Amino acid sequence: MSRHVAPERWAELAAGRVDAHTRAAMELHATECERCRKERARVEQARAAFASVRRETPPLGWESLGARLHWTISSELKRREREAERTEKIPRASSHRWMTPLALSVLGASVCALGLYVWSRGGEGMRAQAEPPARSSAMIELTPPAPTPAPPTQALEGLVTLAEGEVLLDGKPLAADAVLRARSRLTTGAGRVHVQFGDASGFVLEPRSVLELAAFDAHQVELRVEGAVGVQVAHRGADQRFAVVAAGRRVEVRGTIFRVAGSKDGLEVTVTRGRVVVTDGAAGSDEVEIPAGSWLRVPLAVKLAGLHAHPMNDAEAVAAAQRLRVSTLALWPSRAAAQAASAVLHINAPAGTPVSIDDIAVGKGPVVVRVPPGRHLVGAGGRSRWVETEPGVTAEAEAPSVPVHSTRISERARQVEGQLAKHHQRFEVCANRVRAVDPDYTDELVVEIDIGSDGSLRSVVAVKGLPDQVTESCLLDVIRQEFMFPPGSRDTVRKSLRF
Amino acid sequence: MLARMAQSPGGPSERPIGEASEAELIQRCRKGERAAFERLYRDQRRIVAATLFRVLGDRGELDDLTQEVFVIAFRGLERFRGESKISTWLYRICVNVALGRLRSKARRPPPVPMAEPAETSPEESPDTPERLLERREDVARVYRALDQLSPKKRVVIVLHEIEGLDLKEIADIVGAPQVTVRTRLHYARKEFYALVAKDDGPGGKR
Repeated sequence: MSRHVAPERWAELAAGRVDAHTRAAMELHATECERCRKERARVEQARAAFASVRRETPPLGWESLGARLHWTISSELKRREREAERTEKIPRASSHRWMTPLALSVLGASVCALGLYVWSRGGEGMRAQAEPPARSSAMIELTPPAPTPAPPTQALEGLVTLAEGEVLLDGKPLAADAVLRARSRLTTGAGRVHVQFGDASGFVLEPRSVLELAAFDAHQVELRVEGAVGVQVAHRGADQRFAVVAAGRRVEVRGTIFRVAGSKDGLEVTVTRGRVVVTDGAAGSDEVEIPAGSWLRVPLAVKLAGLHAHPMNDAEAVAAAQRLRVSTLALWPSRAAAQAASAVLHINAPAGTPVSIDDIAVGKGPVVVRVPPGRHLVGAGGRSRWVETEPGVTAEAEAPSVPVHSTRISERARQVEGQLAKHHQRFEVCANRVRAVDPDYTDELVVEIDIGSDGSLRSVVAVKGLPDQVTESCLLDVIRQEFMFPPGSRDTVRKSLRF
Repeated sequence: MLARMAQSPGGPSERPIGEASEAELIQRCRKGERAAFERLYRDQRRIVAATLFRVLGDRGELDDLTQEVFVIAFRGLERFRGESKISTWLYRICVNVALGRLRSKARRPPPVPMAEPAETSPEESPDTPERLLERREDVARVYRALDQLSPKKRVVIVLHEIEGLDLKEIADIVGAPQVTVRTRLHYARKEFYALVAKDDGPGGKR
């Protein structure tokens, strides 16, 4: 065989799918041809690698994925339940549908009979019509209804969806299930509070701020702020006016997401979506329009005339988007329904400890957060635990104990240090792969090692990975295969590997 | 009503969820029993995630896509007739989700071919880190080659060469005649091994 062998033929040879004669010819060619030898080796390595690929599982957060799925399925079941209830009602309604023509027929017949009776009574009947009507049940029905008074303006109500740190409502510590109404006054210390008052509408009051709901109904919303507030207005009524009053100015809302910060130095407004108009509050006063992606600073004693909005740069836009993320519940049929359908998690984490729910950072402890009911993975200080929540119920969740960054070094942490030192050379072998290309290569891998009480390695997870996945996996393999621990307490240790 | 059923521990005749057969599990999932669906998730999650990972060669959105597969499965339980194994049915959903993802991506990000290493059985001697590194390179080469195949070719080669499914099962999963799958597999193999044979590593230094 003088011609080169097609690579897939080497795979067929390895799988035993070529006859003896062809096999011999291919083997002979491989002894003479360097290129085909090399290709054969690679094909065989790839075939062998299939087995590795087959046995590998991508490292996913199974528990957090399970929690997300639990939520989704629960919502789906609830939706089906609602649909089932609705369809149960529809047949009842449709079974009454035949009543309508029958009722009309009966009513028509009654009217005809009454007409005949009146006709048969002649003038007597006419007189009876001229006289003041007697109060019979039939006559009452015919009397036009009295004009109903105009419905009162529908008051809005707000629900706290997330509170972290010190927050006061009307001068008292904020209760987890507090409801905000017109004239409510929120004060934040070092913490912040998120309030939802409509479908995807709400505000987040930033630290060291005071907010009063000066007006809070379907026609007008006016927030008076000392400090800073981020507002998200998703569905403003056609005739609803929405304004934030801060630093002596009035910010009229025309659009959706913006931040207003008022201080003794003046006003700062940032708009990420929609647009707002800043005025002095008086009719006919100067005004400055701020479109999406812009900001405006108005020093206290400066007139608005001549000022104009500035576009945000990328960094400012990112910072604004992060700041203006208001925590809202997905479903908001009404305040009461949202409150009844959601659960409150009160996480008693030590002050300043980062807290996460289902792997999403929500703030620093202690935190009160409104969540969909179900199972949630509450994390604090690098540890986590499951908490079951019921709709309409406040669940108290103690922070998972002993934060990983505790000043006291645990027994397991010391053992991990020892293992790291012992296998240092192994780590260097992994890093040398990249150093062959870049001799100055240095990096940091942060791993979380979960050690069981029997000394087994329960899991090794890269919390902060490396750009080069092969090196990262090599390092993790060293830990998984080489690290040995004696029986002791169960613990999770987070370590940073620098090389 | 569904939710009440979901929360109920099950009728007196129902076995504990851990002992339920595949057909019974599906039946209980259909009734909306969350525990049944949780078991389905626990039993099948690794297969689902691994299949998506192999077809996509990218773990960037793997969490979301795995969730999507299970949500589609949950919604489609009524239509699952039980004529095939749950795993085959889930393969089909995985392939459709992955193909949809591949088609929607104008340009795929570089493959991230890393996963948890397989557990070494007691009789196997554990690999040295150097050997593991070599094994990783071989796996990386496989993914690099897969990444250059068209989505359809990639699916058949993953299902046949890696998952070990036969042509009939693949035809059932991808919804194509067996003869089409056979032809596609032939060209996929040809292209794949040619790519593997020419692969000089990520930096072209090998």
